Amino acid sequence: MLKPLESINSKILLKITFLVVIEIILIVGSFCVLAYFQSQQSSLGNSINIAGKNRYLTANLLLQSEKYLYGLSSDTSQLKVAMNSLKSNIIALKQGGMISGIDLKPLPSNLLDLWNTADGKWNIFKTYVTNRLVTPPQARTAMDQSTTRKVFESMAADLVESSDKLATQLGQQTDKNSQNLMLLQILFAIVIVSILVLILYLVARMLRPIFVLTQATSKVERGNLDVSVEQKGNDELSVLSRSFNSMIAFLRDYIKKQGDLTRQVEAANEELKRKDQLKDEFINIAAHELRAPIQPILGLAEILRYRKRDQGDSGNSSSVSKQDDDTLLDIIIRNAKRLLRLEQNILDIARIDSQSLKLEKERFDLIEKIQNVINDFGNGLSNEKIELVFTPSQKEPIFVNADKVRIFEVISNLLCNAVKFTKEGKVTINAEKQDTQVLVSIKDTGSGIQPELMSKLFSKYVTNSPLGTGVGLFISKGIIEAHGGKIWAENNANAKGATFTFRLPLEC
Amino acid sequence: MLIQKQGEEHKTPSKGEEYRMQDHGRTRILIIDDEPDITLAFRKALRDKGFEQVKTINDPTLALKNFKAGSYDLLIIDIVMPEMDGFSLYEEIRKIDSKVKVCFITAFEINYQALRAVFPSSDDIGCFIRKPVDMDDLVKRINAEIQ
Repeated sequence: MLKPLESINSKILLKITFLVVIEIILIVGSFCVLAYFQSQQSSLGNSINIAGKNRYLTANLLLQSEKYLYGLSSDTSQLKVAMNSLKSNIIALKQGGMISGIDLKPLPSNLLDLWNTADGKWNIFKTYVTNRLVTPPQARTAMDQSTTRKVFESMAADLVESSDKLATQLGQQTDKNSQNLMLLQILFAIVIVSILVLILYLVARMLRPIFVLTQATSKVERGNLDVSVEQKGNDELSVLSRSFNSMIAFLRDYIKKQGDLTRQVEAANEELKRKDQLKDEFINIAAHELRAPIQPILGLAEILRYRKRDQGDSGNSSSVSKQDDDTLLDIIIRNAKRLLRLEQNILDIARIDSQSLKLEKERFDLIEKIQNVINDFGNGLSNEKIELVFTPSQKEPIFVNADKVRIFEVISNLLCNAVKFTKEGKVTINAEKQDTQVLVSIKDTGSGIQPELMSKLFSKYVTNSPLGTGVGLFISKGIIEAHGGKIWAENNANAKGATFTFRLPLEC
Repeated sequence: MLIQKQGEEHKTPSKGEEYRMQDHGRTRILIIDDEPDITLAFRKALRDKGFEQVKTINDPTLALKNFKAGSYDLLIIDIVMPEMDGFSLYEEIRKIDSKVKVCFITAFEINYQALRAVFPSSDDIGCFIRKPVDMDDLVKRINAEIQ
């Protein structure tokens, strides 16, 4: 929800308000000053009018005086009115005040001399008029009349002239003031506009982050996150800029993390797909492997059944055919055992996967055990081109605490592999005690391990043979690691074949 | 007489017994499979069924090396073998002997369409046996193929 404007404690608003207030004060001040000067100017204009009026009043007084002088009128009241009018006009010119409904300012002091002159002329005129007309009302000769009239006219002219001089001076003063006023107006205008421009500049500078941010956000909108805006000051926009920068940094970081995560997920997905494919292949091969022993079992069992029936028909059996039957039974048993082993392998894979391989540990002599394996294996070895050699580094027994059956399984598995990949040559087995561990190695002179297979040799379902299920080494690794040992393989340096080695703690 | 007697003993008289009466002792058969136990079982079963001239071999390359035209009437070849698969072996053998008949056997889940796809040129591969196979079925298929 938006806060009411006045309740926002905004620094930027404060700054702008401050500037606006200054501008308003400036404008109002200049208007006041100008208005004052303007009013001065107009009162000066009024003074000119009043000064101008002197001419008319003087003329009127002259007229009244002459009317009186030539006996056209004997009443001095009109003459007195004319004199008073002129007098009050001259006084008003100096002192100001309300006259004929016009507000008049006192005369500027620099014009007082001119006024004094006019006032002097007036006093002379007034005195002369009073002396000549008001005070002695005796008859006058025509010559007197003419002389007095000339004096009158001359005095009136003097008064008009001095009064006009004052008016002219007033006019000049007004002109000068007008010019000054205009200059002042221009000056104020310049100052106001300058201040306005300055304020505009300051506001623009204050709002600059908005433009920068707008550009930056539109860049971000287009997907470019490689932006940052400058951040200085402490007002809201600076805070906004800082927030923007940290937001972009966060976004960048987030997107990067997201990208990494996506890549990880994709990699994991690929890995899962690969594993799934391997599993499919394994199921295919395992099905094949499981079926393979069934064929001899089924076939030979059928043969034995027919033979038994035939024997039943004839009633006896020769020792030769009995011997053959025994061989067939041996083959059936062997294949049944093979089936069992396959089934156990599949179970073992599941146990290794779930890390629940159970070990039944007992103390036994490893040297003796290896010898047993070799004896068992050597007897069943059909390929006579392979030589099995057991060369333990020490003749004394090496006692280990481990699962005898499982260790047997590992050794025969490795031996089986060695023989399988060695068409012709030598398989050397060695056992060596090192401190609290024993090292068993099986070295062959066979085809060796392809480099691309090396890294995944002990993985599930990896096989180099079209008929292998690829679980033997995986199970061997699982067994050795369950004992706390390690198994690895390497190609023999400077020689054919490979060496498989495992290390087993004596007390595992 | 013998057949009749056995027929009384078993509700389903063995077809193998019928084939035994036929004269297929001269049919020359070569079984090529890498599993010695399987070749042994096949050989023993076929011998017992009256096939006198059955030979087995466990190494496909060796089989090819020693193969001579006109030596056999029928080949029984395992499809998946190390070093050389059954299809390739048969392709090579046909170059030596174009008349020899063939029965493929496999324990893999390969269907007939897939077989045709990988082996389109051989229209005459009519015999395709999946392991494990009943011995009576085996004899029946062999007889069907050689006639």
